[in-house]
Amino acid sequence: MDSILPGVLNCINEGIVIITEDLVITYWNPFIEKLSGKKSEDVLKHRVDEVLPMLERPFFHNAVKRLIAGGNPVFFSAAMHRHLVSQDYRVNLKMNRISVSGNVAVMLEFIDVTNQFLRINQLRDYVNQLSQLNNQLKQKEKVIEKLAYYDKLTGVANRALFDKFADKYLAVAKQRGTMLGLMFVDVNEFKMINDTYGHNTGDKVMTRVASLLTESTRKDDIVCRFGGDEFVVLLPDINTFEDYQIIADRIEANRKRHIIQDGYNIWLSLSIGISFYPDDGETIEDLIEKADEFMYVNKHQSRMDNM
Amino acid sequence: MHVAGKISREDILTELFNIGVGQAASTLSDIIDKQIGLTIPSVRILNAEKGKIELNKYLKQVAEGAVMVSSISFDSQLEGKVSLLFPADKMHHFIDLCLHETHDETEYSLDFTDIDFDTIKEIGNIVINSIIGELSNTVNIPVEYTLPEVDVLNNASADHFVDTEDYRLVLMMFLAFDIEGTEIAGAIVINMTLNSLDDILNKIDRLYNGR
Repeated sequence: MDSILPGVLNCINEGIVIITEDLVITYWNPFIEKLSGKKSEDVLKHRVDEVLPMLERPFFHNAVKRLIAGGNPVFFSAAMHRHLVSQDYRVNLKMNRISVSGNVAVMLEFIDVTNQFLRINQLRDYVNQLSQLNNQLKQKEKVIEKLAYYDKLTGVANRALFDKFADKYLAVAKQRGTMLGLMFVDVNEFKMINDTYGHNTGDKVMTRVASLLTESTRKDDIVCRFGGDEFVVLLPDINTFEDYQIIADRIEANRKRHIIQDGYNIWLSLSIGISFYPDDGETIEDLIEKADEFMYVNKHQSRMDNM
Repeated sequence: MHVAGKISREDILTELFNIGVGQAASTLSDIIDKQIGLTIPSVRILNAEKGKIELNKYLKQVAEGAVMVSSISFDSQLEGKVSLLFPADKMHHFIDLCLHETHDETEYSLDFTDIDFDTIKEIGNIVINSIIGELSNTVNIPVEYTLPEVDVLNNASADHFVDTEDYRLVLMMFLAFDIEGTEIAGAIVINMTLNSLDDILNKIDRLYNGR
């Protein structure tokens, strides 16, 4: 049996080193020659901590002493001990006490884990790349959402987002027994503003109307650009008419006034109609129709006042 | 606990284990080239049922019961199992400190690589060696064991670490690990047969209390 052991140790893909209690190398297999780049004939009868200088440290000397005294195995990881045998390889080191010809000796097993490190670093790189890609996709998703649900010119909700919230808010109002307000807003004489001051200025006026409505409403109210010069505002959770009045007063304060845009003094006036669930209808279509109707009454009234 | 002028067995074990982990701290400091503190505030000797209750309390506090465990079983004259537990969610940072590396917090998860496991295997080997080695030397009872097995357990419960059969007892202690100011609280559970613990405690009594 003894005669086949050196043959076995010479074949295995682990660096095997046997040392005496005094750390003198008595065996150095071919695999450790490959890992360390040091030939057996050059290291035998030398101290292992001279041949592998990374072992010339108290932790190693103490480990050998404890191992010889207690016999329990010791493990040193490639992660904590970077260049145990050479700069090129990462190895784990296992140490066991053995008996050789009646004497106590220590067997060092150097297990090559270089490929593990390479694979894990590769995986980390992939994970980082994926994470970056994921962040980019999330950003793009936000842009797409913005394009899908928000009006490009004014930045307020478009009809798609209005439809999404209108049904939801109506269902909540029905469930809770609260009112849902729907305000229809039209910019009076917008065609004239465009014709007089140009489309570029007209677009900016439209953006200012959107801002005015957004600033006058609450966080959960939805201001939507419904058509060319028409806006619709959804007002959920209206419990009393006073809740609505607070918002209406804020809009009313800015509804008719001169604004300065691109150096022009422009008369801005809005016509507004409001309908409420459940008093004015049971569906969103009913509420839009009613609010539109009231808005035209308001517009007609404004024209009469200006005559 | 001091009884009638005599030092309690728990106090003696606490002192012994602190000598052990002191040596482990010095070994680890030498390896990772950082100042490391390791202390065990107290050791409690509990019956298996009480041990399970106390251990479950600790497990509930840490990372919803996810722990990284390094454990060894030992036999021959003394028989039992030692487990070194750390909260799994702290381990990436802990390993990074040991390896002088830094990773983005967002990279952290409860997934560990073979490199992480090997790092904890080494630390577990050093800490457990120091505790069991000190105990074995003091009471002069040899203990034989293999290298620790490292595992991550989600929703771990005391049943993983404490065996109630064979009249087993539990030595339970917390381990305060301090790497250059970063503290990580671990726990050590030694589950051993009543006979084994009796052997140890009787020897301790003879050594320290002259009985």
